[in-house]
Amino acid sequence: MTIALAGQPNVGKSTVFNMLTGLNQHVGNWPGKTVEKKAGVFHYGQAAIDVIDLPGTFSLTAESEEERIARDFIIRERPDVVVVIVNAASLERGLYLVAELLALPSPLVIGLNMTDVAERQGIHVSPTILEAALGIPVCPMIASRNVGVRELIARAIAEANTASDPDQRGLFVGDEHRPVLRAVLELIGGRVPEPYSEAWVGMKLLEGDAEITALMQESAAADWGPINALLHEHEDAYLDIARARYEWISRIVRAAVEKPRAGQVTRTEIIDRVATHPVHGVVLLLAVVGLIFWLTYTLGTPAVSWLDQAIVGPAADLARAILPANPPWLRSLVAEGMIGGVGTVLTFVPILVIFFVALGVLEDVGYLARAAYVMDRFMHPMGLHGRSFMPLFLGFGCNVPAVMGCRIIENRRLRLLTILLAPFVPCTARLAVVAFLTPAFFGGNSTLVSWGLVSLNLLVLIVVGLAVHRLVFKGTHLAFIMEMPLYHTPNLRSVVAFVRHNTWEFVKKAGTIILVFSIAVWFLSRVPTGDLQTSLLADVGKALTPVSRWIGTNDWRINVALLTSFVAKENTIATLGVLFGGEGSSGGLAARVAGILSPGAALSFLVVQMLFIPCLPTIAAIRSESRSWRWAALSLGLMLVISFVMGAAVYHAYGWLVT
Amino acid sequence: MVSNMKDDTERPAVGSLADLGQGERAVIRSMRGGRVFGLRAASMGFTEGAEVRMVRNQSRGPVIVEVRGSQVALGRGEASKIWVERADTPKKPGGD
Repeated sequence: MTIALAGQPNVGKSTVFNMLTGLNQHVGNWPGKTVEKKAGVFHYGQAAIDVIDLPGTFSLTAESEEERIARDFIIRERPDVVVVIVNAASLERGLYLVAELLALPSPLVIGLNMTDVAERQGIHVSPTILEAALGIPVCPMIASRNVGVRELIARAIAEANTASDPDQRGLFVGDEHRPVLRAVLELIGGRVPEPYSEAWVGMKLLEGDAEITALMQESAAADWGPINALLHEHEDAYLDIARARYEWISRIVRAAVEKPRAGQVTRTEIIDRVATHPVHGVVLLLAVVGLIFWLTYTLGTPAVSWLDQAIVGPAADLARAILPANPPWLRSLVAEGMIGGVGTVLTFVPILVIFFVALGVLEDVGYLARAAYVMDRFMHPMGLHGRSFMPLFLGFGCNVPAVMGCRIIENRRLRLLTILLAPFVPCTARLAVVAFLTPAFFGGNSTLVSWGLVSLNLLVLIVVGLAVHRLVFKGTHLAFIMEMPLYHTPNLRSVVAFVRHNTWEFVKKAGTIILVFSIAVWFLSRVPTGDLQTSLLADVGKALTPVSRWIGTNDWRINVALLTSFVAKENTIATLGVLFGGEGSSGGLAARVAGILSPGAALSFLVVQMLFIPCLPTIAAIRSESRSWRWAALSLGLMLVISFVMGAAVYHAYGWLVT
Repeated sequence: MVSNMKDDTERPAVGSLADLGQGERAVIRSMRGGRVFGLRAASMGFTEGAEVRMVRNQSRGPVIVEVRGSQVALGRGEASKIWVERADTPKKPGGD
């Protein structure tokens, strides 16, 4: 038996899914799609029951990939029952999806969730009246406290076992368009391909549904003309259909819901007086982000060094001790190349866990929508939405969670653009390199230079955002319309599942890429002599000196330092240390590097370092989030070109201004 | 708030949603703009005859509107495509 879970985002659908399936879940992708598919199994008595978590949607139009996936699954796979979770505190919105689901072939059961949140708002929903009015089983529940989930499943299974395929329901059309729908149905009669139902196709045609229109155009072939003409004449029927659905909903809600007196102030409204205020809201958001960074440094940094000392270091020592001394490269390969690569992956785990806990809690509470709202006007000029702000800002900590955090952006185009922009945000590792080198390079002006470098990165981010928006996406405006969920207490189980799943995803997908490339870089830096100074990597650095001359330096060691920063940005310092004989004090190293660079070249080196290609873990994250090597390659190429162009520009501008 | 209500008498009864002051109520009269936006907005409850209440409207940036029991954030451009008629008797505003 298969149960499909449907519902809007943020109504506790994943809570129900996680509760049912626990660890017996599999997260993959819908075939050929970029949307996540969550499937799982649970046992009910003797029977093993499959659960599919459909993407969260408000309706079932063809306008988004999520909605197309949800409706296609129900039409093609015919789950034995569809359980639709609705929020009792915003029942009208939830019933809109129910109205759409009614027109599809599977039996429905409604999980009336968050009844506690609704009661606190003074909203009382009668499940019995609702059930009678809808003609569908309705189960009141509080998923976050595991109240009513068992009953919901029992009724869903009973419904799946007994219900015959429902008759045609859910054909909501206003009186004005009822005859038109009849005419459409007559015209398409016998021409609708399996497994679609004629009534549903007729309604979707009237709604102007792009996918179904294309389907019928092909299927009706020569007879499409009159159908098309009729539909064209009633182009705005979609408004009438939506209105008819909501009129049906209003009637039901009037019968089944007691609402609070107008004017009662809810908890959500009180919090929102601050959270969505144009000034206080931004201050609150900065405080929240500040708290996340504080947590990262106080909890994450010690955890990273503990991992390094307690696991990575001993593992490398152990490998050196047990591996044979011959061939000589073997120990180094395992201890430095392989275990070092694993170590790189591991060091990201504590930071990712903290970031994902923060994102998961904020999303579950309902705060991310507010953060998006207050930041929207700042993000708009770049063709971005408020939702892009949070992931980008996380980039100051580390670009990897920034790229992965883009998952909170529903729209694919916005998500891709934000992913492309995220590596322009200077991460802690790059800032550490700047902090290490600028005092020796610029003495008293180092603070000014550091701020200038950060500002330049952000400026480039804005310009690239504008350019991509204008050139690639042709400046098309994406409508900003977003549900503001009621605040509610976060559910521990959902947050844990979110953190576990996202962190594991990084280790599994990005981890392998990081490991392979770490070994490759190790290989290049050791072969043939075992010494970086005479390695293939050094040869590459030397070969690149004609390029680096643009940014004012002939020294191949600078190139090698930049190349090794590909594995991890902080490697720049370590490599300079090796190449400039850096055993001495750190100040000494920076001074030695400063000694071979003119001030203009030093400045341009820092510019390049700040804008240089994303580090390997970030590239791996871009690849796994965009599911496209091309997008990862675009990011790499773009930053490579921009970093050198900006470096060269700064070098020449400096020379020109000073002389 | 008080000044808002005083303005009511001078302002036209029909206008765009974006012009609605904080706390004001209105009824949606028509939807302009393209099909993609119209469909999206309609599915979120913005249909002819629906009652709306402006929750937050700063003279710039997006607005927050209460419609059919939920709050929805809407870009200013989007809000100006929805035409509304102000309710005759502004109810005593609750939260603002």
